[in-house]
Amino acid sequence: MTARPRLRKFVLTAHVVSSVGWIGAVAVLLALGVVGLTSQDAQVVRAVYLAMDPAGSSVLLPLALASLLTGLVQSLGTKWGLVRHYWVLVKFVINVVTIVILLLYMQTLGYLADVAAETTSSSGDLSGLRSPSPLIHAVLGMLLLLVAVTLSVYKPRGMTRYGQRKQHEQRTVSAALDAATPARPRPSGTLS
Amino acid sequence: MAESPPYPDSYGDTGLEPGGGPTTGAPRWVKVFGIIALLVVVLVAILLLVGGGPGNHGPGRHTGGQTSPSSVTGSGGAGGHTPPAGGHTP
Repeated sequence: MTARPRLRKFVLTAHVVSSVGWIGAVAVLLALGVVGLTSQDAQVVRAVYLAMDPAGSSVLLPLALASLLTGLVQSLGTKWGLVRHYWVLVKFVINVVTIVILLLYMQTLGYLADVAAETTSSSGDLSGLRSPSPLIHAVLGMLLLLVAVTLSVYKPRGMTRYGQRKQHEQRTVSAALDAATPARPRPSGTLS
Repeated sequence: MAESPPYPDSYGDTGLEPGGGPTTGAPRWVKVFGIIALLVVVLVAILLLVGGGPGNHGPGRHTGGQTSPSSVTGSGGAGGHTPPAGGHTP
């Protein structure tokens, strides 16, 4: 079943917006991770780890879920399908894996925010507060999302066995319909 | 009038249409991608096992157990930070 063009375009717009927003949120987390590791200002480091938690729960996670949902609707509402083409399937797997890791990682962000909240501003020891973990996760997440974007743009060819079977069925039905349709009468005045 | 492509709103820019793929096995890019993904999964699994066992994706892993809220409380006063019930440790 395919969705109407207007609805398809709306869902596509929502998918692009949420996906682009997701990449932007990961970029922000990446920048925060760098600042958290490099800044010599204790207040800035604390602020960075305090900000990561709400950024993850209020921006990153909702956008990721929206991207997954709109992607599912977009794939199932068109003839591309979810499991017919490898590039769609790989994108779906990337999306799900990234969201699972993000959900697991949210507790770490919450923990880091707790540590930052309890650290006094006069504390000179920032080594206990700094963590390379957000930066590592942000870099890996960004790489996965860039792979997904690349697949979306290039749409490399390749159909799954299910897709090939469906395509064969459709062609068979189409050929049967063509055969059943009576031939058009030739226009008068044409040479035989 | 030219017939409009089947998916003009989303995929017309590549000229690729649904169903245009080959009818053979998985293409090379899928195999390469799968091998890379498998290597990454194995690498992460090894790191998780070395770092304290699978399933432990909590804060203790990422901070190496070096930090706890109480240990970085500057005042070090009585009754330092106590993790909330049902806190972040899995």
